[in-house]
Amino acid sequence: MTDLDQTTSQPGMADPAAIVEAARSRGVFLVPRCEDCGRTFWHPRRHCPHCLSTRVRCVEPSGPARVVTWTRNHRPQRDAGGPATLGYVQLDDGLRVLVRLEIPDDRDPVGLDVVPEPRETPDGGRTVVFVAARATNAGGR
Amino acid sequence: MTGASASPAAVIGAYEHPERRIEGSSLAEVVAEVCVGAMLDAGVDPSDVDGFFFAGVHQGLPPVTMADHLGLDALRHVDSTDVGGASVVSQVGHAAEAIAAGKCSVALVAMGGLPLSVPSRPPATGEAGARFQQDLDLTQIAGYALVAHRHMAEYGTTREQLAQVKVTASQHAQHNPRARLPYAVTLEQVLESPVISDPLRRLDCCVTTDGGGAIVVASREVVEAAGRPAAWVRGWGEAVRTTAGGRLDLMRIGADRSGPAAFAQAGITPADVDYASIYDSFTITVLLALENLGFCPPGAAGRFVEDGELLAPHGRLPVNTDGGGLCNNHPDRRGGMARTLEAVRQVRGEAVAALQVPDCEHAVVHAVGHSLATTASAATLVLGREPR
Repeated sequence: MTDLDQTTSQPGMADPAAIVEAARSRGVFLVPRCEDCGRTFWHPRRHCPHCLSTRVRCVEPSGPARVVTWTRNHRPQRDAGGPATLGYVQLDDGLRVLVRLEIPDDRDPVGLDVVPEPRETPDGGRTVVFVAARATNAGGR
Repeated sequence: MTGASASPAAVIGAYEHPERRIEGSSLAEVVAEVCVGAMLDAGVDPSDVDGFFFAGVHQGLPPVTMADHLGLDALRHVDSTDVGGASVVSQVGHAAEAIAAGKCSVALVAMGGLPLSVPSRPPATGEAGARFQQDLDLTQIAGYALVAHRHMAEYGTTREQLAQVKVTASQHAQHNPRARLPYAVTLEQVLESPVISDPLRRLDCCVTTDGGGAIVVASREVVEAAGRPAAWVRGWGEAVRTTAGGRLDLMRIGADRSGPAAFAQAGITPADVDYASIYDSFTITVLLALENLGFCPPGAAGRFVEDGELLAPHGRLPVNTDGGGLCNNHPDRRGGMARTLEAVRQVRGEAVAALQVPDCEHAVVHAVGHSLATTASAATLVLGREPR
């Protein structure tokens, strides 16, 4: 995992939720990890739900994640210009995160290795989607 | 309250709003109508009611306001527990517990809603975990679709098996003229209905209805004085299945904890259950509840349904004889009340004759709240014809 300079345990430091959201708006996927017990968790919060430590750091996971389950929502709430695909992906350490997927629609993606990739949003910003690992340069990480 | 309760409680009044689409009535009047119906059924009046269980805050109708509208001047116990769709099932358990503790003797449990005339819910707060679901189009149906796909991947459950849950419900619903969809559908009709969120199609989803219901739970003394048919609260349990900090098991829905607690308190096992009302917001909800409650092993519910075991009156476990949420009623997008009411009918011998389970001694109600894809509530109730 790649540590970023984002210690959150000091008074006045940013909320991990805000750090994760800010990273996502740059197209970068971060997860919070406890500096004391070493475990990652989701969703981001100021305390570790495993050991209650408040020494939380947001890190970029290494290696691909694996699709646990997915759906293609044909009735998305927002006007996304078509069906929206989302799913749970599982990181190497077992953490499961609900993410937006961009995957081929000709096969069942359960078990597929996926990696985060930045995407432009309709309003000109950026976000993160997960794509098949082999379809991107990031797949070699 | 563990084991045989020294102060048992029973449902002696029950009322389901007869309509599925209501025009020209306020929410308070809908709730009042069902409360009056349940009090008349129980043979009690507002001066007898000393416990009120009502989760109306989410609708802008707090329990204190509703109590005033009903003229409940004798209240000494109030409970506004809101765990989503499972609220009423939890509240009936809480009512039995309060009666056992001597906190009240006549508890009125009520709910209602007008989702068809008030089509949208208030926007989600985006607090806590929900903040990280906002940009994903995680609608309620999409969430259950995620769970359905996982069940298919993990156990080999088929689309046909999911669809059979709806077919079974519809076979029951054709006997219920009040049902929102009072007719039978075929497997092909379910499988050919429009895809909403893969793999769930329109007919995998419950109906949305106006209406509601109410229940009177009373102490043994009141039950004996009333002389009404009773459905005794034999056991209950509740649980919250969280996202476990990101390590959630989508195949465990909280029923694996609420169910055993309810069965243990009732002193029975799943094999002793004659009828079950199983929350059926979506077809997948039923499969997971059957497995988590121990009616069949993990992964076996699809086959169980396919084998016709949910069909009344002679399946191994008749389920949702009113047609369930899939065909009959899901008022305020919360199925706990409607499911409980049908279980009460079965135990009291008041179900429609063609679907009345013979000699129905034990019935189970299991309800689910929020989303099985993220954070879910679970509540299980065991009702019995005898107090113990």
